[in-house]
Amino acid sequence: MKILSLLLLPLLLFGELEVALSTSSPLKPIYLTRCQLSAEETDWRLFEDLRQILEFDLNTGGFVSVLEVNDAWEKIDLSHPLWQQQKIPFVCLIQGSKNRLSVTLCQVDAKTSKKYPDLVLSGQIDDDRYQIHRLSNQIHKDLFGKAGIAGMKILYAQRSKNKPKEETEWSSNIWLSDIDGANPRQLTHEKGYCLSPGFLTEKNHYFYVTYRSGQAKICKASFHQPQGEVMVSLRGNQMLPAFSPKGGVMAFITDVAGRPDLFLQPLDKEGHMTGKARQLFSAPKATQASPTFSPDGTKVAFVSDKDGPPRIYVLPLASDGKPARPTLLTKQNRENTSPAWSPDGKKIAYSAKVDGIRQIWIYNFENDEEYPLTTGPENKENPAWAPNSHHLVYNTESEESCELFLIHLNSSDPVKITKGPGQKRFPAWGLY
Amino acid sequence: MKSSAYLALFSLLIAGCSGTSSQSWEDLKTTGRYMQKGVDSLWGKDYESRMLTSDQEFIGPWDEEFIPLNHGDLRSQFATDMALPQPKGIPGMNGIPSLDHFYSPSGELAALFNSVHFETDEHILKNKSDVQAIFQIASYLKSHPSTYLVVAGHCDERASASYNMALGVRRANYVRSMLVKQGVDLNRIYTVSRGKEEPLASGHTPEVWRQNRRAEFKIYEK
Repeated sequence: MKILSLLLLPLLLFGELEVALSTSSPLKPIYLTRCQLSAEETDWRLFEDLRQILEFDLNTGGFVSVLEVNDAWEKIDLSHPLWQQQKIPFVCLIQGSKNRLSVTLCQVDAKTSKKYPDLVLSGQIDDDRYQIHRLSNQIHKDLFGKAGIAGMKILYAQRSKNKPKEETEWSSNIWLSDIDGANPRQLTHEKGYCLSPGFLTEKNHYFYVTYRSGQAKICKASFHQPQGEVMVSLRGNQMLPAFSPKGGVMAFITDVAGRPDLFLQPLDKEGHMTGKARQLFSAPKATQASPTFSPDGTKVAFVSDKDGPPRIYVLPLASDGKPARPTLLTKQNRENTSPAWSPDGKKIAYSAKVDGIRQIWIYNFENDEEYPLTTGPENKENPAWAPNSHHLVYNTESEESCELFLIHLNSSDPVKITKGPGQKRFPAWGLY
Repeated sequence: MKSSAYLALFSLLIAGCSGTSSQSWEDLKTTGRYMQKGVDSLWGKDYESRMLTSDQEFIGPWDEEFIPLNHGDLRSQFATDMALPQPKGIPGMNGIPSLDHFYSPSGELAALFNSVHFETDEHILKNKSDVQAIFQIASYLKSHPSTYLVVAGHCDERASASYNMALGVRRANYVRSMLVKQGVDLNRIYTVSRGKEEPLASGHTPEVWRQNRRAEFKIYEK
């Protein structure tokens, strides 16, 4: 018995778990021709840039995959049987002349074509790209009944090294950009540290956590106002805020009571504090973090290490104010953090440590299953859902580099959307 | 005794069946924690249900700042995890120094206010020299009643950034509670967390991680 136990123990401790993944893609192929320019057109670079933007928008929309350009197909008519033979269900003909871009979409099996209204271009890529975004969203809607995500906005924190003579080595401020990483704009210009941004339902307003006074405080700001105003006036630190999609309440972590505990703060319609904050959850010797609300506002998921490594729990918000018990949600992996509840309420995305690497995992409420969304050697954190509950943006995390990636549930290939200096983290998806 | 050992080993084998090697190790640690609690309870050490013996052992929130969890739950469950309300004075107001005016002590004081270090995922100081350092800091603060202190909790790179911000707060508050237990006025000690945002050392080795898991001190002498 003793010898058998000792022989079996190493096999069980060091064995590997095998996961079988489906290899067939749910994405439908689409062919985009090169931009066919009229003879007198000379600004081919603008048209090429716009074609690339269209390709990016379609590739990241979650329903189609753009095929590589094939010289032999460039002059083929949209009605030619070749497309059906090649099993290409959609073909886009792109033409440009003077300051106009024309796109015709052919649905091969249905033998129908639709010519979209010409895009009148200004010649400035930063403006014209939004016309392409609207076009790609319309194409998605025509083909699949759902608009695409092109042109939406994201917030994130960008961390940069200070100049050598500065008091601190790093600073971090809040930035706004398009979902494809275009048009990045710094919103806050604080000397200290800013993290954890998110959009508020009030248009053009957002929240973030600032360390300008030394301790963490939750601020509300607008895109046009340089500095946010502190929202919660408790002593100590307040951090990792989340706002109920139903409005009226905010969850956050604070040490006002001497521990990093989960608190709720009621808010009025203007987003101002109303009444006292309420201590929602605490546990002996435990650290709580990262609350996220269910879309109906009746539950909050959060991180706690009360039972060992950090895991994700769900706590119902009883209307009578009586404390409830949290339920352990994530069981498959042992270090789970930064949960994000999907807008449709059916899933929670989170970061789970698997074989020493943090990956993005999904918990599906419909079948109580947990499954990995990402693979690869980089640590990944802070998933944030798109309003369509189909796309996520997250950041990689390492000492050397942190970038934002876009991924949708139909694909295991994330797309990097940020570039340039600075470490981009804590992304949040816009509501419009 | 032998049958208990076989039972424990069997439990570990079952725990190891469900996952990868790292998950099995975490399961082992969790199992070990619960086994330790069970053994301790046989000897009268009860972590979660000892009643406080007097009101002095429980310090609740300052009046009406927030709605706390039910006092009965707190008193019965948190006997070994003393929590203290934050200082009454708000930094930068009414004579309380702003936190950006605090500074790292230099000269003789630098050695006294040296950083203390934590084990992985822990917020409790286990190293005797670190505990002794806290006692010495407390002694200094008690004899210098116009000195204020900021405790900054830091973490290594391995956990997520968001969890580390909260763990840093946990560490800072634990050090604060140790100082208050030694008699320092709680209204002179502030806590901040830097998570893993300000590493002292670069790299990915256990020694680097150990250096980064720390509480740092800054003071302000009025």
